[in-house]
Amino acid sequence: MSRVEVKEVEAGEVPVEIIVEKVNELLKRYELYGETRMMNKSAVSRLCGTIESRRISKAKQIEAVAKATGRYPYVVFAFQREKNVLCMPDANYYVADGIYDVHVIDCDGDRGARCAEVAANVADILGLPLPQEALLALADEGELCARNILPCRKRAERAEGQFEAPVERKGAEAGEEAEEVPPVVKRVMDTLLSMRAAMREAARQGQQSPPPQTPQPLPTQPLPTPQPPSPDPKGVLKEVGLGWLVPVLDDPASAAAVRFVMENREVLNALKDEEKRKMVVQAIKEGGIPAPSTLDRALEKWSSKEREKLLGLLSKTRDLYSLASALIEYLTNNDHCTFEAVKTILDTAAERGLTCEAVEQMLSQ
Amino acid sequence: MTAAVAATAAVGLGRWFDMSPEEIRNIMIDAARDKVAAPPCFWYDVVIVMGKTAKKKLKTSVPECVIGESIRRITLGVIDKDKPNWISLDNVKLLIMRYAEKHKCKRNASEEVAVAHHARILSGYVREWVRLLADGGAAGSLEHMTLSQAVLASYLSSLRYC
Repeated sequence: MSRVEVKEVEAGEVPVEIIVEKVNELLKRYELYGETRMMNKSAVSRLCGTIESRRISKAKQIEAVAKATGRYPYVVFAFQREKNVLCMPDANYYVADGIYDVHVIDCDGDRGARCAEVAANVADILGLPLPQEALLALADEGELCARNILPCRKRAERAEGQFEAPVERKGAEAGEEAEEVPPVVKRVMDTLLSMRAAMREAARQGQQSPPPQTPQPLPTQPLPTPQPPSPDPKGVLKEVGLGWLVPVLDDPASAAAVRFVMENREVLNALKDEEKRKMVVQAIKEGGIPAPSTLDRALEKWSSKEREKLLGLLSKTRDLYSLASALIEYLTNNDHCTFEAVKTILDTAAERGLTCEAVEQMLSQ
Repeated sequence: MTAAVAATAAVGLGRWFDMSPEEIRNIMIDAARDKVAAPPCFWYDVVIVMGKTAKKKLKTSVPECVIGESIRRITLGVIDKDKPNWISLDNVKLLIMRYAEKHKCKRNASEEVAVAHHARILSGYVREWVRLLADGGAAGSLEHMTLSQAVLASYLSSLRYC
């Protein structure tokens, strides 16, 4: 890459001289063109922006030229792309009145990247800072990266950018899928899955063999009172392989949520339908209890049993708060963990042969 | 609301994540208690994922006792109880990598970096064993983090973290 020729003319006070003729040569080499204008400081400032005197100290090299010559014989490259102008040196260094040799270069179209390259090289020669944003005004990031003007973003970062659109389109699920899962996590999860399968298999085999054993202790140890089989609900949960559910019992909110779902399972299942959901959410958000007649009309799609149950729920003022909080949490996606957790618990309980009544009984203790 | 958060995290991440974090923890603990058989490389993988990776990707931390169990099993897998000579436990990373090599566990550069990082944490467990077993220099040296392989194997065989 050819650069603006910087030549030492005198050792000492005048360290640098920029040979202006070389500028055109340089531009020609880059197949760039523009017009050369002689401008005073205010004209240059108008083209390139305002002056921030506090940053002048950064341009030591240029200040040295100015001090030495006393005439501020500046060469300014003004790279112009549409309305954006990148001046090099930038306006912060036009410190005094004088005549500036301003090369206004046309950077439209595919010339943007070449302009950026010249700008970067000039900045390099003059030892001036050149912010990335300024370069990005001339060319795309990809072009600048291809020309080694800007460091290329890492592949992963680019991939993240590519995933932005699908995430917006498909919502949270797409976002989660887009998230990279390290191979070690996949390995661990695969192992855990296989271990879980092995445990379930073992539990199934264990469940198949006990039935002949269970009738035996009954005659030998007849319980005098028809109390629940185990007084300790936590113990029962552990016995049936639901030990992980124990923390729920310690958390009143979770226990209440489980109870709520136990009682209103049909309604919540019906609410999986989007249309049905919208209506109920709307009704709850607006506050109060919607009139049964209007609600009834809106609930045409619901089965009579579900409808009856929902109407019954809504008509109970005392239960409205718990209903509203549970439903809003779930339905507005603010925090639908309650429902999901409860559903998981109940499904698992059913899968492992624990009845809803038993769970409810445990939770009510 | 542990179970609630756990279940939420378990939703939507495909087949790997149909397990709740609570379930993940329980299976890990069960594996550590030998209630379910775990492949040898599982313990190596646990060392890699412990800490931030587990919290971020598995939505749960690896139980402390499982971490202790991992380093116990890894060390037991590396030492040779029939050899009377002492083993240096100074470099825990090396210990873990030897185990991974022995069992041909899949590994890559970034995972080795994680191992190196976590080895510093795991060295706490190892230091504890040496402190207990060095016994005034009879079976090992605390200063040099060395122990008799036979003594260490005997101790670790009886040790249970979970």
